[in-house]
Amino acid sequence: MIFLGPLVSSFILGFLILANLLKNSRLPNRAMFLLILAAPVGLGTCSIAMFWAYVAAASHGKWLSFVLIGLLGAYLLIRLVLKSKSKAVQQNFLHLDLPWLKKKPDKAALLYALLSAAALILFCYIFGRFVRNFISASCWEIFGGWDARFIWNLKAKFFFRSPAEWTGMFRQELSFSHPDYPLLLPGAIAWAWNWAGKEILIWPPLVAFLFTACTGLLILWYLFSYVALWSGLVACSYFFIIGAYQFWSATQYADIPVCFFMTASAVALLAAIRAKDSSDRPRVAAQSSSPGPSARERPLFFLAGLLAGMAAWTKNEGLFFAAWSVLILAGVLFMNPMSWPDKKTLACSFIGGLGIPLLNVFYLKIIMAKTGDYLGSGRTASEYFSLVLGSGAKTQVILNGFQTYMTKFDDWNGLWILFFCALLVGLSIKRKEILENSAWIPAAAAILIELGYFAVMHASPHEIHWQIETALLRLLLHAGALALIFSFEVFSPSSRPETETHP
Amino acid sequence: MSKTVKLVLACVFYALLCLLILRSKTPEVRPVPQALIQGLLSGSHRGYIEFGNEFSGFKKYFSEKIPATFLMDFPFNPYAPTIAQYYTAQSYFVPMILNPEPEEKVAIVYCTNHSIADQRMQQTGYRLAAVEGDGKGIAVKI
Repeated sequence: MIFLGPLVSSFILGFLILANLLKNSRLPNRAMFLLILAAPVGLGTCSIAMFWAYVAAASHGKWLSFVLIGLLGAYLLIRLVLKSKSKAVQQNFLHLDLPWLKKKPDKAALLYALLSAAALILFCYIFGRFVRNFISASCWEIFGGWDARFIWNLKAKFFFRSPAEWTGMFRQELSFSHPDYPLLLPGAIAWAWNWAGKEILIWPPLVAFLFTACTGLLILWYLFSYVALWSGLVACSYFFIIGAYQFWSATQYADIPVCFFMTASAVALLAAIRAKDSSDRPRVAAQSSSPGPSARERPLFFLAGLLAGMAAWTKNEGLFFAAWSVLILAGVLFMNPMSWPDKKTLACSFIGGLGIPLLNVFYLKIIMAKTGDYLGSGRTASEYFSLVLGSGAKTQVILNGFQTYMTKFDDWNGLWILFFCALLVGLSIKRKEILENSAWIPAAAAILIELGYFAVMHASPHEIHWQIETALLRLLLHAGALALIFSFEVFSPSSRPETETHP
Repeated sequence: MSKTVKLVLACVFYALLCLLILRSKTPEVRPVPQALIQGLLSGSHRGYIEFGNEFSGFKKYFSEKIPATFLMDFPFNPYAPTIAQYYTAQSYFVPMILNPEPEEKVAIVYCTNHSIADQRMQQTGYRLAAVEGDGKGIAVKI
């Protein structure tokens, strides 16, 4: 089990980061959330730290990255222990919200339990099928698809094989591997290779599996926490039968990791808002002796920003998401009645989290790899503007592409049709409810993400039909999980028993 | 909205979802030999051939990691169907840089046969220095 060391170490690092951040959060089912996010956040952090270690020390970058990550882990552990000692240990840190188990059995609770049991059986069957398929596909195509072979793993080889010459990956001769692409995935892969001392073949598919499984489990966590356990299990099962996710997960592309970070960021922001809302309830406010609710949920806003930044450190498309997430944050702060200093504090927390991975992205794009398909291509803003608005024929082709790819049943199993139905229902029948509980965030994020791609496709340097055929389906993957969450939330009855919020 | 409408909507939605899930195609799973899985878990990679192994014969010519040109049947075109050969070679030779343009002093010639290789070397100003198969070898700039 050569992969256990890097896997466990990245998990622990992610766990420590999240445990420090969420220690006093009112997030429901916090332990579950933390366990789902730990490995991806750990891998992202390793990648960020590795990049700076290589920038600072080049030939000694490998060792410096171990030192940096080790020191960070030690600092987080000490901080967590000291804080726990000074504030009295949070006894219910690993608490799962299962209030329906504590209630005296009645008809509703029995129905809830039966539905949950049936959904659990369904989920186990579907997830088992997904895992079997993933293992088979990965074993027969261990080097992954085109992008994995010639972009992500190729960059990881530069990190691993010769730290002194790692900047070779930014040379113009390798334009096919897009020197300006962000490095979360190559860094995460090289982290394990550096640890093992060899290019272990199992690691890239394992990382791909982790991100896919965690995306599904994140959907489960969200719906479990805010709708119902059985709803989460059905949604998670649905996610794992979607053809596009099944296929692309085994190709080791960066699209599913970016989908994970986008979904996690939007969900964390939504959870932060709801945690704040719940604190306004007198019952909880009375229990709370800590600083104001906004200050208390500041780390969740920081985490939402960090996750959005990690999306940008995974793929260029994540940069768009970072911009959209700031826009959504502005909307959230505008719509929620808070004092101006509170709004400023929360916005600063979000931007602070976002800024950490963005620093890597900007350093990469401004200093290391100055040319790219879009940024650094030499085209001016007005050229982009005229490209987006100036070609009706191209717009028609792109619209047709979206329609064709969104409605392909084998790829999506009807997800986008359900999403549009949910939008109709949400806008017409459940508008007030959706606005009140901020459930519009996943829908807004999904729409903005795809709208951004729609605009960018006009400016693509590649032939438009080729671009649509090779990229559009993968671009739809990014927002798929958010569309799924929104659809389930709109159509589900608010059946979940009242969530106990606890520090 | 009345509770009944909400409930009807939810029932229709979840019934549809269960139908979609239960009627989803079970993917055809190609059985994997246990030895392959064992090789992956242990890190021995038994049963797998290194990616780009077809270029291993060229490795002995490059003790120093100086850039080399990669000469193919056609001038570099990212949309050419055989372009994966160049990308595979680059992946194999990392951190050595393979330039697709005929600008380096040394070139890896990787053409379909010797007549195409001769033609390409003539076009780009290289002469053959070592042979590694039909249409394949090492060339140096004239």
